[in-house]
Amino acid sequence: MAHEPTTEELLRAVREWIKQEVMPRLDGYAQFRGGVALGALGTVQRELSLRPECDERARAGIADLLGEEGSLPALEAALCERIRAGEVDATDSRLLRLLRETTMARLAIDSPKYPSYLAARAREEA
Amino acid sequence: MDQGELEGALRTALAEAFPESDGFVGLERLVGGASKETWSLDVLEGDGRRPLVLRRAPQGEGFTIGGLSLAGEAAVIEAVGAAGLPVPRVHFTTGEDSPLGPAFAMDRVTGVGDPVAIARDSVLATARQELAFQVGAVAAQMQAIDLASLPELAEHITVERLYELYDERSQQSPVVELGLRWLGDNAPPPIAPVLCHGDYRNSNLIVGAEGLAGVIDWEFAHAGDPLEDLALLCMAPWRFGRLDRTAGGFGTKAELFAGYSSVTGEPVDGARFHHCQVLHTVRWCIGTMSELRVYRDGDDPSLERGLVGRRLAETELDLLDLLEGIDPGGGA
Repeated sequence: MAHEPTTEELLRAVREWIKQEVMPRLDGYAQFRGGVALGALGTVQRELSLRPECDERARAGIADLLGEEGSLPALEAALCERIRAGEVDATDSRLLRLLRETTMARLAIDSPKYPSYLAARAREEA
Repeated sequence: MDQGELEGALRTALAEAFPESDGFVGLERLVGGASKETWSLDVLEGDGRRPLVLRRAPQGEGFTIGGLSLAGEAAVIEAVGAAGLPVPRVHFTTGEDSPLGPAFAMDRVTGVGDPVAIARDSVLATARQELAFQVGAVAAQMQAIDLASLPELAEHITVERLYELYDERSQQSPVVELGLRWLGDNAPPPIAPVLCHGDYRNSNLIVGAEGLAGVIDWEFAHAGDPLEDLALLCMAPWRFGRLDRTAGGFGTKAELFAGYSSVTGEPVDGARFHHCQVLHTVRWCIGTMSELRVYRDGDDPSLERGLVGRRLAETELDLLDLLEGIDPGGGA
């Protein structure tokens, strides 16, 4: 097949190279920035596998709540407008649940080690 | 300016401030303080060394959003020190016309500044026993400083202003909209503004064997709600792996409040405190949007700046927790 090794494999190889061969040669601020770069590549790896489902669930959830269809950005804009206009009840449990689910799915990509995220997951599993 | 040029400019400034000194050693950039550069160095004085910290804005002071100028920050530190509170002594301030650019130098406070160690290192177990009380008391004591004696400070942030700041950003967030709406619907009665540190969290505290040794990084000092600093100190992102210890990961909210009340003589207003927490959290959501803009507009194209933008969802979750009355660490 074309395009092999896959994007995921190439990314993994670049991360391993930075980790094994570049990082030991850096110190001080350069080493800190090396760690930042590794973190960014980790985010890209997670986004490749998780983003499509994350976005579609958020889109479908808002569509269901508002009773209308559209793209994720358009639906988010509509939800923002309705919250601001007071047309959506800010204490509505469906709204809060949807926003929580969406935020949790985004954190699984952007910041899966964030302590509040881990605590929320532990509460969900309990 | 490369490090050689910085050393030259610094030598000139130090020669004026410390005429007896024999130069300096150990100039090193410290990690942290994304808005402005912070450097550590030791001035040689006879047989001894005086540890200093240098704060500077090498690209000018243009792009800090809402922060004090370096000269303003230095003036606030001096006023707080004059009130007897634990802050470093300022030695000199330079402006745009100096070869060093806008900068100031102060003593480097002896003690532990690493927030993770402050929250968790067993060596600091004794210091931690009193720390939250002390931090609460200092927050209250700084409020006795007359605002008229300070350089002009940014004003009390209002919900209207937060809406404006949010609308200026290109991102939309239903969670932030919800937070803004809650703030408007649940505003506490107006109160006279007082001096707030503005970034009063574990990260800007220096801790010694006896507890609190210094409060640093006054860049965001402003006139605000008396409970703002306590609210910031208790925010989830600043507990460093000890979510269960609400006050900065090193103490309980009860200890912090007891320290504050020991100075004011009044209990902490829980509803006002909660409102301050939501306000800080909404503000930090908008802050991450601002960081994204600074990154995209090319003012600071560094990767670490860009990645702050990716932290929006963290703060959105903390905001949802607050709105639902959940403390992620259980609330001690």
